Amino acid sequence: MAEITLTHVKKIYDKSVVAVQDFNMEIQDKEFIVLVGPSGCGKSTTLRMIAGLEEISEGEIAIGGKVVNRVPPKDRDIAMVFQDYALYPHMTVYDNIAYGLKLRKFPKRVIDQKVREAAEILDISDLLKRKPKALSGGQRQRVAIGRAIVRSPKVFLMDEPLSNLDAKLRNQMRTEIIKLRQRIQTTFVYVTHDQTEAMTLGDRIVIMKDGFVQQIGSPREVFHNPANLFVAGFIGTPQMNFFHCRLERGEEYYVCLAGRRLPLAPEKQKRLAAKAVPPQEIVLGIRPEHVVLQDDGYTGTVEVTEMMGSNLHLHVRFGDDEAVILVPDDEEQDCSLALGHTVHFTFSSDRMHLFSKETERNLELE
Amino acid sequence: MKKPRLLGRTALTILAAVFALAFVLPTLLTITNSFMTQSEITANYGQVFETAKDGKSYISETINLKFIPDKVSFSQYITVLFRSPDYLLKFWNSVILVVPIVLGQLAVASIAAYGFTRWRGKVSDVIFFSYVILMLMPYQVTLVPNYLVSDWLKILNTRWAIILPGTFAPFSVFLLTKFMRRIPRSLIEAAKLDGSSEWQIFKNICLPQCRSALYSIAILVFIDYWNMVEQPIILLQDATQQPLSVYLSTINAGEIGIAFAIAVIYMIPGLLLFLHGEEYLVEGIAHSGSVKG
Repeated sequence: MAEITLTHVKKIYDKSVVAVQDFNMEIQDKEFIVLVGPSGCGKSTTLRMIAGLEEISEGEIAIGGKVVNRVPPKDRDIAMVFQDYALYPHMTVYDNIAYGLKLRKFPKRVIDQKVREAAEILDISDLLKRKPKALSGGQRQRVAIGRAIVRSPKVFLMDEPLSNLDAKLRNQMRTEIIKLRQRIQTTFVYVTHDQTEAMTLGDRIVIMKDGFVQQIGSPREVFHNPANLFVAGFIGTPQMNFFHCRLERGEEYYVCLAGRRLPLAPEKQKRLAAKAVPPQEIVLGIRPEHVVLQDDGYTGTVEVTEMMGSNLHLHVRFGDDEAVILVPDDEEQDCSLALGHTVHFTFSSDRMHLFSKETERNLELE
Repeated sequence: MKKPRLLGRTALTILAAVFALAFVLPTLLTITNSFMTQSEITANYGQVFETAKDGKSYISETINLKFIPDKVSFSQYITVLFRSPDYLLKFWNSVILVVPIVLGQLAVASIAAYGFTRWRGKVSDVIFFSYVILMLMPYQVTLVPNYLVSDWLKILNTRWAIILPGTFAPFSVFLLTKFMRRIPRSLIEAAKLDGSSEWQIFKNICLPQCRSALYSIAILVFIDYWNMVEQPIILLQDATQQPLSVYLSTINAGEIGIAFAIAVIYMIPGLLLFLHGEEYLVEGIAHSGSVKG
């Protein structure tokens, strides 16, 4: 069993710079957790604290029920894949993978068997005699993963392992990691700044900013119910549209945007009423795929059209605001969506996200 | 436009060739003259030293620089290697002074550099800074303190008076620290997670990657101490312990032919070391100098 518990974990550098602030989380055994956020948000620091490569300023980390604050990295039974792969340049691929086992005094026969098994899983059997400098980025990545899995660790840590690869290889390796996870069944903690990686890999995602945890939830949860403006803007491509407007309440709640009343779906009404949310200035969030072309909606002018393959991204100006609309690619329709054309659109009433302008938190979840 | 550029390049090439020749000629002269007979040597250089003995001048108008021997002879080498063990003894003196210094410096420098790399803080930075200051001082400045400390340690007039200060020389620590600081931190962390102890990280991960720097240091230290003159003269008064470098500087008229042969034998270890490790030397110095901490 390798559940990880982080309790009030804090990291302060040089007595003043707070890198991680009050991190609390329980990671279940065999769960795949992704820490995601922009540069400097504290995700790598958190991972390094779990690995034991960074001292914890406050709080407690437990792996498999045992507090490991003072346990050295080699005794935590964890393996880590680094962003730059960290392969030993003077050793062959075989020796790189076998090194950890040799240090743990495994018999030679067992080492050989385990190395060859790992190499087979990762399809690098023919590279075992090569040195790292004779490998491509993708091959190095596989060797780094091989070095980690060969020890069958309780916890598998990955620090932006795909960020040095080109887009095509990154997609390929992402799939490989998903397959690997199904095969080796262990606890994963994965750090990335790429929200697509986070959404596709994680059972749960931890979104961080400036050292603070913004939201923890499943990919679906954070996508459909973002806890605050930051999460809403960070998760999803293209980014969510935001409009400054006002939440009003008559018999029912509605939103006033650009002189129009936008009704809200019954479930949203219920949630707002249950929390007795008062009328206020808000930020309305709506994902581009939830903006629908409709004749009796808002009128705007197409400023930019981006052809993305299966769909189009329209950048539409209406009044002082700009909205991005995602529409399926349709050759006949495309002519009417060209640069400078006028389009009419509205927002799906059940897909609108309401954020307090003051606290930036989601009013339905607050 | 092409002509002036071609002319400039030709002029530069000629200038470079002249400089190269100026550097190579003394070595060439030493090698070719070592194959001359004693009588030919006396005929060519005898006059210079006779004049010197009278105390008038070292330079004689009758000096006859000759590069090609009239007759190739190995008599100087036979004398040096088989008939006069005194020269070989001096050579051996050099070896037993320089080899422990090179090995000692490599050991001390690699451990010190590892410390400066792994544990960075105000204290270690101050110590490292003082190493740099020490490195900038010419040997002559520290000679008197060295003499006094050697006297205090009762090692004056023993080989330890040269070996000990040589082992703890700061230059190699500086060079190796700069090199080690270029090793990615993730590599050391990966080794930690793999289960390495501090000693294993040093031995299995850091040292193998510093091969070129270690080689550069070995070559530079060897050449530096192989050619030392002041240290043995001041700290080793016993003539039987003096290295070949000191003997070469005190050669006299009757032995000029042998001096050429000894000089050639004297050059061989340094030359072999350099030729063997030239690639590492260039790489080691280039990487250490690229100051990327």
